[in-house]
Amino acid sequence: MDFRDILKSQLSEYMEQLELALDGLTEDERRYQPTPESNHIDFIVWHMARVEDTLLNRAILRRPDLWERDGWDERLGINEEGNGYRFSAEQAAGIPVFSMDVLMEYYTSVRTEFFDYIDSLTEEDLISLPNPRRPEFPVGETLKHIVVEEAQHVGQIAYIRGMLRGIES
Amino acid sequence: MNFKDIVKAALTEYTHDLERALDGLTPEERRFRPTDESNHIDFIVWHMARVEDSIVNRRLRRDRQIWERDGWHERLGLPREGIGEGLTAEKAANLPSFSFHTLMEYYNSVRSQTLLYIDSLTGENLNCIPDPDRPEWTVAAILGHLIVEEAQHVGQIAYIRGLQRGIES
Repeated sequence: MDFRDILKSQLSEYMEQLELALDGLTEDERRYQPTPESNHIDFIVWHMARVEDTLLNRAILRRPDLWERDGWDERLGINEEGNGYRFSAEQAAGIPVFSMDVLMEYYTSVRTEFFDYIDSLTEEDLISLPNPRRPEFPVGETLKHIVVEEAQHVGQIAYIRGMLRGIES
Repeated sequence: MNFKDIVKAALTEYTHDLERALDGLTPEERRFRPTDESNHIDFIVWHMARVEDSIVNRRLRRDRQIWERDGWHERLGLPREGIGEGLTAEKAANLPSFSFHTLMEYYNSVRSQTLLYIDSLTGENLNCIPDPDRPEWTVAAILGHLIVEEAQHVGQIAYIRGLQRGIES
């Protein structure tokens, strides 16, 4: 078991918890905002998938992301630029209604690329700098950040579910 | 950058996010619950500190937890037993009031031990199985899980802050 296995098990752990937290939610529940400034679940899941895609493909591999390459924006009917980072509350809440099944297909295809990439990594790669202008982001730093950021979002989705359905649901 | 560096950097990242999410909150805000079944911030932070202590010191180091070894339960006026897992919503909400400053001292003392422990690990240690009854849980896998679980809780705290103070606060 090396760092690649651990990384994959971390990604799998929060994906599994995401699936649990989404299980059986209605479209209305996924759009629930406890306050006008609070993100709804639809936005958070879309953002999570986009974060993995953009950090893996753009930040690390320096190539177009899957979103663009495979036309997921059209398939989902979402034209937003970016991955949701720094969206205003209004912009986040106003993301067009989309099919969660299609979004999860997109997320799964990002995940497949991600695992292939992790399998190809060596320990030396962790210190390589994909972008010389961002010396604070060697590969290992970005990979670590993905886990920490995405797990936080899963925690938020589980919390919103608990607000809607109670703690044991 | 190796696996140990990544683990330490992940702990640092979510702790930093935790501090930001807690910054300036009043005791009332830390006890706010959006629904009767939702956990408040006081409970979640206490639980986070207890999880790290229990995982690192009991499960990995097979030693006593700092909680009981150094009498933190007495200093905080909290029960000696338990880390807050599987509690009912009511029990979690009714965690006695405590000094938040003292809780963070406890958390810092747990963290110092955690970092010492990680520094002491060798590549071989990472593949050790601390509990033979659970062979799938190597040291590295347990550390990977710690990060995913704790980061989820930080995301919850940030979300609860947003419920009360809006997105840009």
